[in-house]
Amino acid sequence: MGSDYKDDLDLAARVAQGDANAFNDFYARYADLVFAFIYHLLNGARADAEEIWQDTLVAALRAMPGYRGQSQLSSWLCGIARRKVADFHRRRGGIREPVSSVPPEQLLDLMDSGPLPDEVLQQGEARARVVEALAGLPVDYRNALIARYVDGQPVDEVARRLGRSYKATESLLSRGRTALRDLLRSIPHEFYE
Amino acid sequence: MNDHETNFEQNLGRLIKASCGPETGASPAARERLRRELAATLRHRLQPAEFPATALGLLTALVLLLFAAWGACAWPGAAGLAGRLPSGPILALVVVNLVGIPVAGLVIVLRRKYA
Repeated sequence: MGSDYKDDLDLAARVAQGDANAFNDFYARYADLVFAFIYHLLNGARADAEEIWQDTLVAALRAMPGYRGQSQLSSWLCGIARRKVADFHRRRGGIREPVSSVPPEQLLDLMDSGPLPDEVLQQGEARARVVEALAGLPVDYRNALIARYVDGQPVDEVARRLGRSYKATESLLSRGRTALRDLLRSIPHEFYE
Repeated sequence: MNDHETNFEQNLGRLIKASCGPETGASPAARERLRRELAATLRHRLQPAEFPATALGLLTALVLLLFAAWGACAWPGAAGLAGRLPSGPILALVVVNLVGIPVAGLVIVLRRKYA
């Protein structure tokens, strides 16, 4: 969480009260990740993902006064998105592509043991799980990991962008990776079955 | 950094890139649509829930009428009046009030809570 909010509950409460800055922060933090999450769950069906994205965030905004901090805001949002995707599949006749996602422990073992096979990298469920885990990270960890691995910036450039020293950035990235590993392990596999 | 950590870092990097790359972003049109929809939802949520003033006035008038009719019937000095008042409209007034008041209360509560 950034320094402006005590925790997820505080952010959600301010959004629910109509605080425009809180709403903008909420949008900046979660909107893109929620889209990526839905996009991967639908195996890249963009038009459908955009429709479900809108439904998800509108439903989340309506339900926000009822958010009690029982889970991370990111998990709560992914839960709403997951239900919307399930509803979508039901409306479409209940037929879903067979899922062959790798269980979390197996994925982590694979990641430790050598280059990850392409078929694992291509799995929508594996990608959605990574997005969900990223969404659950503290903002500074997440920004550092995205700058490093999505934007492909070297550590010194990430450090410059985040206004930290090289050493502090290395440490931040290392802690971010460890936190992400823990989150990847903690997301129940049955969500992706 | 040992082999496990190196493998993990490289694979994590590949997975993060595959999961959050630019192709996983929504189109500008969808973003704009969503922004509008969210702003409208937020505006609607924040509007004070109101009960239509005319309906409220009508309900108040009905209640007053009911009490007036009731009072007229109960007044000892107007024993004859009670017999002359048409019972059908008074009964209708009672029924409308009995039904209307709880319904109006429910509508007000629901609008306040879930508007």
